[in-house]
Amino acid sequence: MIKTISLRLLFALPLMLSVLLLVGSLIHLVPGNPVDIILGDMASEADKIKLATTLGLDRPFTEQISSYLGGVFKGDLGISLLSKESVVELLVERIAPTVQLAFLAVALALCVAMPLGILSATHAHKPADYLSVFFALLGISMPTFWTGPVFVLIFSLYLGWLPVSEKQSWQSYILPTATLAIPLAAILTRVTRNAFLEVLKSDFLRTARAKGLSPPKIILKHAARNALLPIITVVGLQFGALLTGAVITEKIFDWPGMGSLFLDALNNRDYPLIQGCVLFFALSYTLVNTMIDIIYTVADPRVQLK
Amino acid sequence: MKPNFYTCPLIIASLLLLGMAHPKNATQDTNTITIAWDTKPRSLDPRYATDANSQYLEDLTTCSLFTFDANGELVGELAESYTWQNPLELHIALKPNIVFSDGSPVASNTVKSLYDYLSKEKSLSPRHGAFTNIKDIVAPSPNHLIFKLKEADAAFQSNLIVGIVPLKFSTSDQVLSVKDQPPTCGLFSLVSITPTEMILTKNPSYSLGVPAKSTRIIIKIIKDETTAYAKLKSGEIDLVQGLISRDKINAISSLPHITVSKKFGLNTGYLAFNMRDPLLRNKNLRQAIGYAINREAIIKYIMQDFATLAEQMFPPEHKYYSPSVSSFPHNLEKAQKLLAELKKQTKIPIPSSQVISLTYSTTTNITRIAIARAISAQLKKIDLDVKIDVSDWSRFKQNVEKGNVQMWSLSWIGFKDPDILNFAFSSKSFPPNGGNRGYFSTPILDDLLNRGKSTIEFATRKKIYDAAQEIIADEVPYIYLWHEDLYVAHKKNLQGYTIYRDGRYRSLAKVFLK
Repeated sequence: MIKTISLRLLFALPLMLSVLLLVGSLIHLVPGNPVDIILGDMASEADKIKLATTLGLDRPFTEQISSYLGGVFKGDLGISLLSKESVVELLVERIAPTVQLAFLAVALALCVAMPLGILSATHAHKPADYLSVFFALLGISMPTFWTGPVFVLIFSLYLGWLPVSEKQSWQSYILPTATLAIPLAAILTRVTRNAFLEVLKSDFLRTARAKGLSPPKIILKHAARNALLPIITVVGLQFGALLTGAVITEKIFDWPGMGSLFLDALNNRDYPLIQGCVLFFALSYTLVNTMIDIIYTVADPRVQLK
Repeated sequence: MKPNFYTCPLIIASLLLLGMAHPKNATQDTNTITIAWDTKPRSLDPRYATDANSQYLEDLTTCSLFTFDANGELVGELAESYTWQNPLELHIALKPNIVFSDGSPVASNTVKSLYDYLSKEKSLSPRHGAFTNIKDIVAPSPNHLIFKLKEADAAFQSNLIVGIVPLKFSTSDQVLSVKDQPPTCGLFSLVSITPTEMILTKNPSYSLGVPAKSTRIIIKIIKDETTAYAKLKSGEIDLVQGLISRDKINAISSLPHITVSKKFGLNTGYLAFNMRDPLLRNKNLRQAIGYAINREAIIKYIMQDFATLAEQMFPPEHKYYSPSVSSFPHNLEKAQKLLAELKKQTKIPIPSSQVISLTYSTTTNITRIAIARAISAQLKKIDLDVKIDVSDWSRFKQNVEKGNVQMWSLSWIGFKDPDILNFAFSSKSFPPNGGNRGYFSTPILDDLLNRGKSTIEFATRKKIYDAAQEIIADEVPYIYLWHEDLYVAHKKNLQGYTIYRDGRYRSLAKVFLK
């Protein structure tokens, strides 16, 4: 398995390289450049040329990207053009809050979605199912840019129970986690319901019931394992998306994560920082997908890594 | 006992209930003032500070030769007095016995070292451009500094506002960070910075005036205006300047614990024309547009009364304001008459339908789009068909600078010296060399602006710029719209805050919580 995983990570290198080249060239095509942003409207052309030379932006694109890639292979992602801070340090500072929030949101979503989805499947076309479907639809229909401020309004301003924003105490995790978890839980509830509905019709479960096994045992031991694969897939994809930064939620709750860092870098045309963020995103997607493949084999022994 | 499916939700609910232990009415530390900014400063090093928030921070955490008062007037900070020995030599006397927070002196050689770094050919500083006119800097004594210039520039001393850093830092290309813990001669020291917060503490050895009243300033970085609004409302922050939109400011002003105040800023909104456009190069058309626009209505309904009518580039309290120059009053009859005259001219490319079509370019900013729509609707009343072209800032700027647009609206922000007219209207300032994006060119004006730049004496200089403003008003390259207000919302128990017209936060030094 280790060999397979190593090979997968190795194959991910050309992917990351392609992503870097694509994003690197596209960002240079977009109007606007860091020199204008740093110097502002009132700067003379001579100053702009001088700064562009200082920043190395006067060199041909191929030269810029090849020297950048040379640095990447040595573990040096460069210096932010605007803040002059190390890109690696900036990324390290922001990765932990993003990962923490992503883990918590996925955990909360699973805690809500799994029981609700199973309840919905075991009570299909009954009031409990309709109620679960209703909540799932509600969750999907509420975008984070709406739920976030509404939560702040209720829990921070009206009730005064939780802080409005920022990553400070453990209480400050609650609102952003809940905001991110709601749509995720809604999707997972639907996926869980459908997966379990399919499995619950299987012959082996009829046999299990005929053997007199208790319903929780049938669900947890026999049905769950067979229904897990689609759920794992969705969780993996959503987790990957959360790692690339929940821009809106981070903005609402002043969360110092990857999303806001990437957005600022884009707005400032801070090329090394943009490329650093993209590299992290590509790497995190690769790692998450590899992790999902490993979890597949644990969840279902019929699946093998090749 | 085995866990069942309902265990997880129960745990989460319990955690949520525990979370409700957040203290709503914790006792506030009256020595700490918490404010909000929308972005983190890009640089903590005064030599590299080019964005507004970096310069606001620089203003709080360093001292400089000169600074601007609340009305935007240049005043000495480290400079006790200054005299122009001749148009090429500026002599500055420094205040004596000024020290950094570590006790080291702030003497003329410290200042010289900083400006030597900024003006040297190989300087990496993005602020270098403001000091290329320096020929030499001499420090004949610890309290005396002489700047020798290559060319006369009456606005030169208004560039001498860069924060002074200690000698050992100003000679190096290395960018200063919090880790360097540079001693300060400013009102506050920056002690920590995170992506969401900066903490400033009072500099007890501040020797350029009265030290700050509050011992600590916390600057929260809040990107979302709704969050800033919520934090102000909940009492988590004490003061917000500008960050919250006008409609929310109006809502928050009704809260019993909040006070809102406003003051017009050093900014001027304008509608500009591409003077190379076959239609818009006709003065009658530009004047007709000027008379057709109802600026008062836009100020009332879109700007929500957070703006003052602009008659010219300079606001009424600016010392270069010219009372004899005014903009266009709303007069539809006059506008229609001017258009009728225009349509009689054979040289103008007017379509057979007699309806003139124009394009108004703007950015994706919501207020800018609303203004564009309002102006378009107002111009329809005189049978001008104005289409609105919306693009992101970079593309918009590119199009404007290349002359690919007909008319657009923008603002000049933060100017203090009348030399802004040179940047905006001189024919030497066509893009990329300056801000004359409408490609307006008049030799008489060019001459006046050149003379204004090199004239030191105020009364003479004022006459020159008065004359320049009259030419601009007559030629109508711009229609001046308004001066936007700066507004601040703060807790009622916060006392002593004054709005600075250029948006700086210097009066935080005088602020205290009752």
